[in-house]
Amino acid sequence: MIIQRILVLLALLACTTGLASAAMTIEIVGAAASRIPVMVGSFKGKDFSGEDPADVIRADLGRSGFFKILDGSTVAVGENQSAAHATWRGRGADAVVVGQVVPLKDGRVDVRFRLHDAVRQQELAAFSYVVPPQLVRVTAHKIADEVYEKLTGEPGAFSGRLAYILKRGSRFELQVSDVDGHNAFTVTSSPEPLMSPAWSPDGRRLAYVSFEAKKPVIYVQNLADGKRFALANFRGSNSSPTWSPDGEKLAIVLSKDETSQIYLIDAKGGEPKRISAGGALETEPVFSPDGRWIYYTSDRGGSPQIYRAPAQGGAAKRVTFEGDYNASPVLSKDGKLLAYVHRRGSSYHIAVMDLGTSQTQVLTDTQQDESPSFAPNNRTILYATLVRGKGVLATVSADGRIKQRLSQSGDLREPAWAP
Amino acid sequence: MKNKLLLLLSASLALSACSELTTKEAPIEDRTAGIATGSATGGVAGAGMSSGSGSGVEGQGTGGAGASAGQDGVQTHGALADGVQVTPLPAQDGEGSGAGGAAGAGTGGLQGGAMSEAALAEKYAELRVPPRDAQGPLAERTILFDFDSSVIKDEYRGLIEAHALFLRSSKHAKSILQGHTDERGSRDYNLALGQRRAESVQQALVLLGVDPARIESVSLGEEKPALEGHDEAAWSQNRRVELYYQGE
Repeated sequence: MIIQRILVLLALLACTTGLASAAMTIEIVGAAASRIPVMVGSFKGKDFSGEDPADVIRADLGRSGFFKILDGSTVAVGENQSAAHATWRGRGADAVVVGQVVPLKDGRVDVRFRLHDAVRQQELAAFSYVVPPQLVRVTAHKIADEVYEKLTGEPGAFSGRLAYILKRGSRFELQVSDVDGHNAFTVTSSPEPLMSPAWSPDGRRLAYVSFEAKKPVIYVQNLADGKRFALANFRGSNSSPTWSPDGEKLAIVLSKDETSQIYLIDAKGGEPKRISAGGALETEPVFSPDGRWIYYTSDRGGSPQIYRAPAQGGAAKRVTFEGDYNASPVLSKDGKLLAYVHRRGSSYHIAVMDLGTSQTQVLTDTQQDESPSFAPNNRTILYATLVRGKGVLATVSADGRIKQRLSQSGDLREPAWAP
Repeated sequence: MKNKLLLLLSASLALSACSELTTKEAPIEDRTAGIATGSATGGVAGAGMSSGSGSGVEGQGTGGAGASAGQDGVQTHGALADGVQVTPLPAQDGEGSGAGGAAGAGTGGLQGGAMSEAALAEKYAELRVPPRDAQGPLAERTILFDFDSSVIKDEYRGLIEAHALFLRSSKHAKSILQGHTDERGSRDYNLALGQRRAESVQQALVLLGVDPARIESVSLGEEKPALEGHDEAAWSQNRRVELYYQGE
């Protein structure tokens, strides 16, 4: 079953805040049935001494499981060199990335690349990105996205960001990092637990739950300036924030009136409006991408199951039926797939349901999988699990074939892929 | 399906146990009120009694529990009769196992028959948190739960009655109930489960006459385990409600 096991060790560069410095380890299990052989030549000419974007592109493509990365050291530097299709084919490459980083007089750099199809002997893409030097790495992820899309027909998801909770010693940190764990910075740090990070649709704000007042209170924080306010601090518990697709409202869970119920609240705060009917525990709301529905977990039937109700309130319909524990619903950005936590025996797995056909598939085989989150391209699901008692992040392709694990010194949990 | 039935069954059992407590407690509360006025006006005997046995009580450090009907009856009697010296009765052993009987025997035994509910109420009136040297059920703060359950087990009745008495007696005390779960399953669902555990304890306290405005139920879900392990030994200690008082 296990086809391949690669261990990639990546050291985190010194980051902006200096708070989040540790090594993120990425381990890949499994691969696509057929992988596209790709060569990526070095981007590093004499004039550029920073990190080689080619290393980043190779790591991204390799980790996806869809590509076989060939030695690119024989590919000449420079995006404008004449294409050597025959030579590349001779070395087994179907596709070749050539590129270069050119420093500009104003201090910025020009990152240029071309993607060649060595089989059909044609150019598939060519771009130039003029960026400040600290964004070279992000640009390399964008190039990997471009290459991925041109070669697989699906958008890539290498240039995105993640939010997650890191517990180190007795401290809790809400961090945001690149998808490969680099450029991590701490958004909020607390001696009390933090949980449930939720991205605003524009990717500029995070809602989350903090226990700094010895009880769960929902905050909304700007990433740009770090300013935050308490969105919901009502009597009892305030939890499980999620944004409406237009970013105007959040669905939240409050216990101020009866046991955990779902409310809508303006993103600027204000009086919450209850939308769940009561009589049972209801939590973990998420909006459908069109904003019309809310999927959530309720134990009204005696065990936690996923239900769907109109976002403005109304009659609920049960969505999951297999097993006696289905929770943490999350929808793909195209609204076609539902990922959730499914208990089988005494183990908790990530499962996915095709909402068109109601077909379900259990994707993972570890014991305590939780907090699923879709990549923007809908092909990968990010989740949290325990490995030898330690919290790690993991991804699985929506077909269950390719898995990655991201671990750090400390417990990682509750990942959320930025929109 | 079986689970659901069991859940319903245990929930209804818990509720019926609670209502049984309510009906049994109601007359006690009435009598407490009676005692309070009785000792306030009739005065001397009550005061003498409480100061006389007071040091003994504090020495023994018995944190009073919800009083048993039997003892309460005796003390009520004593407090109302002018000048009568009331001798604490020895703990009653081997009382019935029914809800009322168990409560009577349990709390009677723990109280050591040393201090009346009225005296405790007086002692508690100005306190915001239980006395530091409280012993017995008032010193206990943790209620453990079965997996996926928010039903309070019988063994915690003494604890809940003791804190109910404290909250009823104190003029200012406010309690915070923190619900917790073990680490398995969804974090957000666990937060809601912990909330329900706290609310279950809150409901039991309210049924014993505590003003709901004095209690805030909150949940910490699985975020603050009592034990860090990943096995049932740790999980069983982590499925809990912890009782705090404002100002602690």
